Amino acid sequence: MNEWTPSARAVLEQHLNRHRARFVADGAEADEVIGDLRQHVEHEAAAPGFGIVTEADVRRILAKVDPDLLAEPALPPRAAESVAAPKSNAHPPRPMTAGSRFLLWLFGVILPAFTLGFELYTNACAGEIFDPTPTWLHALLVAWVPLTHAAALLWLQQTDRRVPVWLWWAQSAAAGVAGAYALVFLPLTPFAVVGLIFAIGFLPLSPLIAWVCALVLGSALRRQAVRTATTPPRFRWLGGVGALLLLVALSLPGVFTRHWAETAAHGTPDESTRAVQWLRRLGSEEELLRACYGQVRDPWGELWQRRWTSPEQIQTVFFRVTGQPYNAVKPPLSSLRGPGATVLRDFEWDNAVGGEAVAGHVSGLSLRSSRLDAMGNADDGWAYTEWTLEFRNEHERQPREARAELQLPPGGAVSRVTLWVNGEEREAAFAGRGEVRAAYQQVAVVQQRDPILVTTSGPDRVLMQCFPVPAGGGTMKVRLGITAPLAPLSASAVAFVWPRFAERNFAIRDEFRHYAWLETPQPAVNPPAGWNLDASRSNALHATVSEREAESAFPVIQLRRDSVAPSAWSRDERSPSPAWVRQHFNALPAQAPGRLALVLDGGRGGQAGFDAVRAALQQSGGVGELGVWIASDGVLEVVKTKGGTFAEAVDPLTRRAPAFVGGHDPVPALEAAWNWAAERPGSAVLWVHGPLPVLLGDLHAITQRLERTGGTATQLLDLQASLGPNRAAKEFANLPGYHNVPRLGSTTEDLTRLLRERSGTGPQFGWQRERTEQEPRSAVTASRHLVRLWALDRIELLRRARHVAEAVELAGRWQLVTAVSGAVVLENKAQFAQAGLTPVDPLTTPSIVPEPETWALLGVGLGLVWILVQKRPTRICP
Amino acid sequence: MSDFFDNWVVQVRKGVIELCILRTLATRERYGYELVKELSEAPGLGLTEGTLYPLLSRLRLSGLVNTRLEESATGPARKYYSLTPEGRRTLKIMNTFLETLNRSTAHVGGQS
Repeated sequence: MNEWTPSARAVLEQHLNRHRARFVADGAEADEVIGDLRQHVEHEAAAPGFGIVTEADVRRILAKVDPDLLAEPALPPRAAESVAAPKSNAHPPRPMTAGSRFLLWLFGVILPAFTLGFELYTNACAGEIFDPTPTWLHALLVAWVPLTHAAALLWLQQTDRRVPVWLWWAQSAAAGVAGAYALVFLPLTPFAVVGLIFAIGFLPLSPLIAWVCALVLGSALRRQAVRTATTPPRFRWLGGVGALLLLVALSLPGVFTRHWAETAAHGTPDESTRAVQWLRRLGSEEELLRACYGQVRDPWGELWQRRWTSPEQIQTVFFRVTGQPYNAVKPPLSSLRGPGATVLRDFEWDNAVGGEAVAGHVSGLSLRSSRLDAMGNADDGWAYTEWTLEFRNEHERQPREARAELQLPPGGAVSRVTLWVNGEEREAAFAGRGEVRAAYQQVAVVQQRDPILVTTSGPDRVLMQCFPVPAGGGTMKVRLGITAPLAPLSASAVAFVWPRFAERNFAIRDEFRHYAWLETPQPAVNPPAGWNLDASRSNALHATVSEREAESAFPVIQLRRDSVAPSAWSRDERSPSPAWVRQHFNALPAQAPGRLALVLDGGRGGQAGFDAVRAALQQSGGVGELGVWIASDGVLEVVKTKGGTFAEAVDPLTRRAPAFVGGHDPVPALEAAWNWAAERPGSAVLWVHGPLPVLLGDLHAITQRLERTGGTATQLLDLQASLGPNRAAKEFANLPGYHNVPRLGSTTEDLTRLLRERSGTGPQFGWQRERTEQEPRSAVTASRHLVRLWALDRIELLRRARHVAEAVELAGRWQLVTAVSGAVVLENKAQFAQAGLTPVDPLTTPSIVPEPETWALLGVGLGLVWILVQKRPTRICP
Repeated sequence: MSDFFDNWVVQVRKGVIELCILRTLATRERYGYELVKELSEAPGLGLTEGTLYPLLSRLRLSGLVNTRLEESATGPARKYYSLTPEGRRTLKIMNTFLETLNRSTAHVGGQS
């Protein structure tokens, strides 16, 4: 190309730009025409003969190309100005200034890149508001903006460099992405503007700022195109549209998940069921899980939200969709990517502090140690277990409340609660349920001091909560003592059952170990595998059990019982008048033969119970009228036999096995089963199911039947096949006719025993306790736990007779956590006095060593023996 | 020649220049300079570059013409013009109409 003088170039641009208005008036694109003409003139000037192209050459070429171009345009000057670039009438578009370039690098490249890196590292927005980069593809799209801006700025450094086609498309896509994020972050703009004072406001404003930069860069590229006589791709805006469409496509799972979750929560029963089925097929589980914690995973999904759906409603939907409690899954914050996500946990609140639900896992809190020490007597039928737990809170700032629902041994109750305060043991006060909870909430939630509260939470379950486990690696140590009867398996064997966690809000590492130790005067029938006998102590069994193995490796331990052991006696020392408790071991009368209606869980947690039911029906040899229903998305009636063997139901049950997905409302199936069973006297509904973390429907259909029939007609037998929450049991627990089936072995073994008992083919045994003021003729041998077990029976009778005050007094006297009473440990005497409570005397609490009074009795006995020995006449040897 | 005739010529030219451009591009694609040279040499059309480029831009905006850039070893990149399918359909219709018009004008006033 020939060399052009600056004035030649200026003249060319001046003449061409003068006619901009004419070109527009002709329906053409002015920039394009000017570019074409410029190129044409350059082409002419490149012909041989031109050395240096001067003004005169330009005029000559223009006259040849089109004489009109040398003339003044025909349009009025005002019209010409309106379509001309302000500074381009006489000159080509100016390149970007250094100042503009600096600002674009700062706000168009560095700021969005820093914001993305900050978010990926800390997950600040993801944790608190919504996740702007829920997938790596989102992160790549966001990264596209600063990368494209950097490329454009580098390209624009050379003012005569043609803009390549790919840069037009890339810039358009970047503008689309930045615009879309600017829209999503728009609601935060007012807060972000305030936040500018602390510079942090630049982060939420970053998308908006990046979008403005994208527009400015787009304009700069167009000016560069004019200078270099190139035409931008006509449909380049499709790049932005494509980026938007990609974002929309990526958000579809979130959008649909939100929509279906809303329908499942608010729709009619049919709509709700269909929505749940869609969620199972195509929904995003992570999206649902975050919603359970009140968080938003995908901001685009949130844009389409029509109705407010509370986290509690979403938790219900989550269970219906997945069949597992939301708090049985790792909480969403724990899955955040960035190593700096821990910063977020400073802002993670536990909204369930002081409440009556275990609720979701809280980050930072874990179980540090667990030790179980147990003793018992198989002949006397009692056991006492002390479970010492230590919690640790790794959270840097938030103190945490440790909460757990504990599954107690069948018929058991908490009879001791101890809290370590500054290394010293503090015992609990036992009082009415409302009193202890009020004291706990006052001290824990309001004063943030050191209490622990234990209350019942359904049949054979207690809720333990202690607060605060101090932040920054602080620990809290507690001990629960549990008194329980040994469950009779036969005339010569009883079962010892360990307490376990049914639900908890703290983490337990897979490799965590529980240390368990059991001592009884009688040997175990079959010492479980992996358990060790200690020669230094008679019949001492011990093991270390990892949490992963806890469910299977915490076996029920069968203890040998003397089948002709006499009744056991224990003195009621806390009675105002002298009294004794006597316990018999009895064979129970056979149950009246009635119908047995089985209700099975068709959800995810129901598979184990379903298989066990099939095996038990086959093995039990039971006979009688049997009906089987399955609770699924509807009620599935499987079979109704007319009195043959239970095994006849196995084939139809196998044929109609459900898919075992999701979680289902059991009430409609329970209703149908109850209606059939109640047609015959002495019938029972046996409900076999997995965990039920939420109530999906109205329980009144069942509670009304239990209350109205008073437990005299049809019974409801509840067998939970695997550990976990059971919300329905909490509602049914105190109603007559409801029985929690004790878990004394595998589900198949327990079901087989139950079916045999129901059909009269298996014997039933039980303990019977009575109180008498008549001094027994035999020596008092048994532990004071016998009196505690009697007190438990008595408290239940008093509660049902509505003598609540008397029941609370008895529970307080024997230091028992029951349906009417609870236990609370406060930090000091002043707090106890303020709450109107009195902590128990440590000398009156049960212990894993013989209790103080027993030592005293032994001392007295030994003293008597010594006196007798001293008084014996001395025999003189001949 | 009278002013009347001059004006008439301008009007006729205006009507047929687009047709000529489309016809030229129907045979093969051409770059701008080549197209201008070819058309400006056609007698009677009186076409200048200053007229042609706005027309090409308008045809592109109307979707009748496509453009593409191709680097040239001898100079700046060349901008090639070609007909779009829509351009071809339009050209066919225009040709048909022009034939009809020619026939009609031939018969008007009893001439044959």
